[in-house]
Order: sequence, then structure tokens, then C-alpha cells
Amino acid sequence: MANSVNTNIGAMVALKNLNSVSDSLSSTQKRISTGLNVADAYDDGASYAVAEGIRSDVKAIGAVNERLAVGKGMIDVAVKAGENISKSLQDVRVVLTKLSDEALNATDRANYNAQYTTLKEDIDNFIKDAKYNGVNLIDSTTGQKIISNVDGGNIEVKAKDLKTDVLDKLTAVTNATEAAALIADGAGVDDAMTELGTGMNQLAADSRRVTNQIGFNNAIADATNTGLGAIVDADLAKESARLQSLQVKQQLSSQALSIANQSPQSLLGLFR
Amino acid sequence: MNTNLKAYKQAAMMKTDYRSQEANLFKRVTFGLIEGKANPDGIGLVRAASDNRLLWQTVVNLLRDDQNRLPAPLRAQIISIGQTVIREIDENATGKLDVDFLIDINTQMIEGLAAQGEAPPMAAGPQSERRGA
Repeated sequence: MANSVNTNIGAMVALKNLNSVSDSLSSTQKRISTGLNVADAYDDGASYAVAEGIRSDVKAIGAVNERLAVGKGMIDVAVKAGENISKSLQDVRVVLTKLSDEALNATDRANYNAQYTTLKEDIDNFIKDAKYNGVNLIDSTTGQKIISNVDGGNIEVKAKDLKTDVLDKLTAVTNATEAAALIADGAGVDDAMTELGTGMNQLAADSRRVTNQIGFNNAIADATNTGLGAIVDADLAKESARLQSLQVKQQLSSQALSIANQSPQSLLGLFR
Repeated sequence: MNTNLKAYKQAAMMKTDYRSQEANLFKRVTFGLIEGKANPDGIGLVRAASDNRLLWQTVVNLLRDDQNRLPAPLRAQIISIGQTVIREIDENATGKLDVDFLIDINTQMIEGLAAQGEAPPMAAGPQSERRGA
């Protein structure tokens, strides 16, 4: 301190006050610049440690939710494939009904048989194509364990082998009797539809569990987080979201910062 | 998707500013949605929607972090929008997905991110603090 105010008591008091004002000002600045109540250990050691803990908890919850979102993708893709397979199975039943007619002439039989083969190929393709993030939940019985909370708990998403349980039930037909056998109650097509239904029900149940877990994690993150909870609109309607996205565009345009400014790789490394 | 991603990574390496990389990421995912829209019953659309959900889930997580330096009202607004997007996908991914809604929102994000913001505040942060001299 270069200024000599030693002899002036009034000036000393004023300076002391000034220093304390500027201290609190700089701590306010720290709060503003970081968006946190406690920016570093100098503010308040104990609170800082707690704040750091919360911050890492919220980050961990975010990481878990990303894994769950991938899991949800796997399930949704499998469910969509299942719906397409279900439609094909209905067509299969129609074609087999025609094929079970003893009076069918040879040309028609050949045509319907070709249709039957095509439908089976479609189903095969639906099964093979049901991959998300390298995982297929309907081509084997190998399920997926998806981490569901920060304590390492997980949700096991069950897989069903629809090739064995559905496609392989549709055996080749050479005559009307074999076709009729496939559409009999509890046999062939019927059995395949039941198995498909079982698989889809399981996927739907797992899907609900994953969605609920994500919602639960979000609630924890929001509750633990100090800042934003109150100004986030949890029930924003689609139309309002459209309007707000225009405002967001404007505001983002005037910013130099990126979304992931603290940890760019977490966003940019997303689809490796 | 892998060839697309390679292209993205190459593009990402050429550009160093994160905003345009983030805009590119949104573009890739949005392109998937546009492609998927052409065949609404196909599995491609479900995959694209799932990618979009993962993207938005990550965006929401990043903005929820109190260390994020974007202004709080903007963060809250993007989180609110992100939750609406995620909800739409959660509820309709395998059914009547409002793809146009998802594409619209992403387009605004792409345009916002692609715009040149103000010069990066190089001297901002702790250095600007001056304690009582």
C-alpha cells in the first residue's frame, strides 16, 4: 500500500471499509462469473467441499442418464422392429390361408409360396436391422445391463431371440396340408405371434423402467442443484417450445460461448 | 452411421471452435431425422430419434452444471426445450412422432450456434478481479 494514510485515522477507517467493500465485491463477482454461490475454497471451505460434492453428483447422474438414453434407444428400435414383424405375421397368415386351399392351381401356389418366402425374408431383415449403438435386443437372448444410478445399480433389459422364437416357426410349406398345419390354433403362426407378444411386453416393461429411472434421476439432479430448478419450465408445451427456440436462437447468436464450454468433449465425443 | 461419423470427426478436427462443431453435431442428427422422415415406418427414424434424444439429454446435462458459463435464463430455456424434445421422443418414438417439431427445434439451435458470436472474452474470469490495491 503506497499511500501514506498512517497519520489520518479517518482515512484509515475509510480505507478499511473500502477494502472490505472491495472484498465482498470480488466475491460477488466470483459468484456471478461462476454462477455458483460458493466459487472456490477461499469463500467458505466447508461449503465449497459440499458444493463440489453436489456438482460431481449431478455430473454423475447426467452420465447415468446418457447411458439410460442409449438403453432407451435400443428398446425403441427393438419395439419398432417388433411392430413391423407383427404386421408381416398378419400377412403371413393371409398367404398361408390361401396356400392351405387344396383347390389352388399350381401357378397360384407357386406365386403365394414366393410371397411367403418374401415375407419371411422381411421378418429376417427386421430382426437383423434392429440394432442401436451396436446392440440388438431381438436377435439373441443376451440382455443388456444398463447402469441406472450413481451407486452402480443397473436395470437389466431382457433380450428375446425372435429368429428362433418367431421366424423359425414359419417352416417351408410344400402342400395345402402343411400350410393348414401352420395356421392351426396354437401352432406355427399362432405360436410365433404369442412369442412376439411376450417379447414386446417385456420390452415395454423395460422401457417404462428406464423412463421412470431417467425421470427419477432428473428429479434428484434438480433437487440437488442450486441454480436453475425454479426457472426451468418442466411442462413446456410443444408450441411454446417452438416459440422459445426462436428466442434461444437469437440469444445463442449473440453469444461467443459454446454449449459445452466447460467440457467440450462430452458433447463432441457423443457418437464415437 | 459410422461413415457419417467419420466425416463428422474429420470436419471436427479441421475446425477448432466448439460452436461450429456443436452446430455440426446438431446438423448430423437433424439430417438423420430428415432422412428418417421419408420412411415413417422404418427403423431409421427410430434410430435417428434415439440419437436426437441422446444429444438433447447430454445438452440438458451440460447446461444443468452450475459451472456452465452461458447466462442462467438461456440455460433454463434450453433445458426446458430439451425436456420437451425428450418427452416427445419418449412418448412417440415408435408411434406418431412429430418429426417436424424435432427438426424445427434443432434448426434453431443450428442457426444460433452457427452465428458468429461476440469475440471470445479472453480477459474475463478471475484475472479481472482487482482486490483493494
